[in-house]
Amino acid sequence: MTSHQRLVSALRTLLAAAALAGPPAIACAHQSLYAAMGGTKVVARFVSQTIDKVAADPRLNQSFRDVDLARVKRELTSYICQLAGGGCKYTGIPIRAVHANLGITQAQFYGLVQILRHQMRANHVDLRDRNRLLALLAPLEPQVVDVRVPPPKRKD
Amino acid sequence: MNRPAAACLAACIATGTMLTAAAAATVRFRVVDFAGKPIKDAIVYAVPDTPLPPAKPRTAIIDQVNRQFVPQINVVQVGTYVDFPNSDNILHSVYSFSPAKTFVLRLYAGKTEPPVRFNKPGIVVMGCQIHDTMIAWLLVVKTPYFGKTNAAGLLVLHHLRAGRYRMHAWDVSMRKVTASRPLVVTAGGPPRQITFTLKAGRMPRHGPTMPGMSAGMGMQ
Ligand code: HEM
Repeated sequence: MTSHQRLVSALRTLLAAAALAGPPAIACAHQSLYAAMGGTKVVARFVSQTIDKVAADPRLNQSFRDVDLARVKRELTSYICQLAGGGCKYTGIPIRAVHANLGITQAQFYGLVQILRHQMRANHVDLRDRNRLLALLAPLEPQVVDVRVPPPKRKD
Repeated sequence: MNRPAAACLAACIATGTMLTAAAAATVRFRVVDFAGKPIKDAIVYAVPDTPLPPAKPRTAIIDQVNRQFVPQINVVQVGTYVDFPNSDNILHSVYSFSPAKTFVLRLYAGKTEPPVRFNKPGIVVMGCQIHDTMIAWLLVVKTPYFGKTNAAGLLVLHHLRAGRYRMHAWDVSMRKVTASRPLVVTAGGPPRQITFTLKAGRMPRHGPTMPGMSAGMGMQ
């Protein structure tokens, strides 16, 4: 096993465990995960830091060439807001369509997740909430990793 | 056959104004900067004072290749459809805020979109919402007589029928304005050569970011 494969498998276990744990009993019934993480102020910050780090990492950034990072940060924040019950309506492009044919590998997916975990921690999101968000993101893997769409058939 | 000649031929045939060699003229254009250096990819077009009958709509292609528009600089006659085939087969989201045509066109991998019609004269600056270094220009002109200069700054327009015209020249660094001057075309005789001297600068690298960037382009 390479160190990368080890990392991937460790993260998968972690995500699976987070998913199984479900919403902890002590969570306040009225507060969304989004609010618990600190709302837009905190989420926008860790999203922005994550995207900057991913886009600067040569192992992760091949799909980011020429990409408008400000847009990705804005849309990803809004996506997480919707996903985490923050009450936003995501108006960006569907996740699968965005990542189609970008050649994103599973290792890159977990590489991004890893950076996201670090940035959440750096922004004092507590462990329980970090795991709750990761559990919501984990099922998106098939919509992001290695999505291949054949070129359209043209009439002419 | 090069594009301007093809465009003119098609338009002339379509509108039934094909002229005999004697009644049509050829005009050669040279576009240079103030230092006398040729300007490549400048657009030149000749608008007749007496409007031509409407042309049959044509379709032009602006492709997306390796996260760039190809070609980046384009000119079409009013009423032309433009197809965006997206050879990259990753998501592009082409948009324009230009008054001559405001649109957003999502080009998803694996799908084709119908062409976009440009039916107002003016300059359309296009970008991609995803890849902010992508930028293309499209001049929509009220004439079938147009073309783009080659590396030597030269362009030849054929089959101009005798009459009065306003000639325009545009380089991407001029943004919203064109240089223009009148021209009287007389049939027969040796081809005329006209030189436009433009202040040409460098091409902006980023896509259009300001709504209304191209407001007020005074095109005929
Ligand atoms: C946790 C899973 C992920 C989610 C929820 C996600 C979500 C998003 C969103 C919302 C956008 C912007 C959509 C828009 O512009 O409307 C986006 C764009 C993008 N994402 Fe992801 N993403 C994920 C994982 C990844 C990974 C692992 C990579 C590569 C390492 C990646 C690369 C990109 C790139 C290059 C873009 C910009 C290209 C484009 O918008 O077409 N994403 N993503």
